[in-house]
Amino acid sequence: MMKTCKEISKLASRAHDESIVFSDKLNLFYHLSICKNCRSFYNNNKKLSLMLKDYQDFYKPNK
Amino acid sequence: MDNQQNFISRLLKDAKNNTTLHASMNEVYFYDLYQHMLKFAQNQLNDSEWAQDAVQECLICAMECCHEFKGNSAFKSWVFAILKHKISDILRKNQKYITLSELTDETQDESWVDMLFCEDGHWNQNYAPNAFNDSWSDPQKQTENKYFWQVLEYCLEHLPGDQARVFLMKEYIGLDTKEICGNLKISSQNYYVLMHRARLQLQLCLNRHWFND
Repeated sequence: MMKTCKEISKLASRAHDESIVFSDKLNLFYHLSICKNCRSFYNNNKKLSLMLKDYQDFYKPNK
Repeated sequence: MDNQQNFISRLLKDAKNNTTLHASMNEVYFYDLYQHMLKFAQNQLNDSEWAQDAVQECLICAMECCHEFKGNSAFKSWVFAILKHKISDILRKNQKYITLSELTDETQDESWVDMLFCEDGHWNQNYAPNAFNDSWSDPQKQTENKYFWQVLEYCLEHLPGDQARVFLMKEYIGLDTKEICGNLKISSQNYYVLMHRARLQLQLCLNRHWFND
């Protein structure tokens, strides 16, 4: 059964936090290979993590 | 309120006895900073007394080397780094006290998420995510990037409380999924729902206000 973008976005969010089962991985990455919007959502989540990490490290005392 | 003002006056008086503060670090600045810290601490700890204590302890600790800072935005980031560690400490030590309340109603309501998608489950093109570019992390554009962090803050502040709490615990404080579910006494299903929504909402907000060219 093909998954919708809505379902894929949920899977993409979960995959960012933990390891998902193999069949979910197949579904996710197949869908990402053909859907630009979902690919953006998935990649943006990685960037969001980096932003939050950079946000806390942005300024440090100059020592 | 009075308590906060008294605390800030005392903090500044003690600091000025020992060192010269940068001109931008005045009473108004500290009052704003205090409010901002308190809002974050309250969101994470869900207890005003703990939040207040955490904020005051961090500020006292931060003042020890406030003379190192030549600008107030640098000081703010540093104070928040201290607050973040403090909160992570409190959360790890007090697992049984902090729970999410009134969660079920909000997580069962899918209408906001439904708005982002068409009936067939594809993205509604008005709300579909665009790929973030890397401009925000470009060291060549430091001045411009200063505004990026303000936009990010704006977007984080406009997340619904429960979403902000879970998202920041994960991505900012650095707790793992298990610790967060244990802390807040929520199921992993609830956690997935909150993270999914927080991410959708943040992407939408950042796409609107920063990555819109």
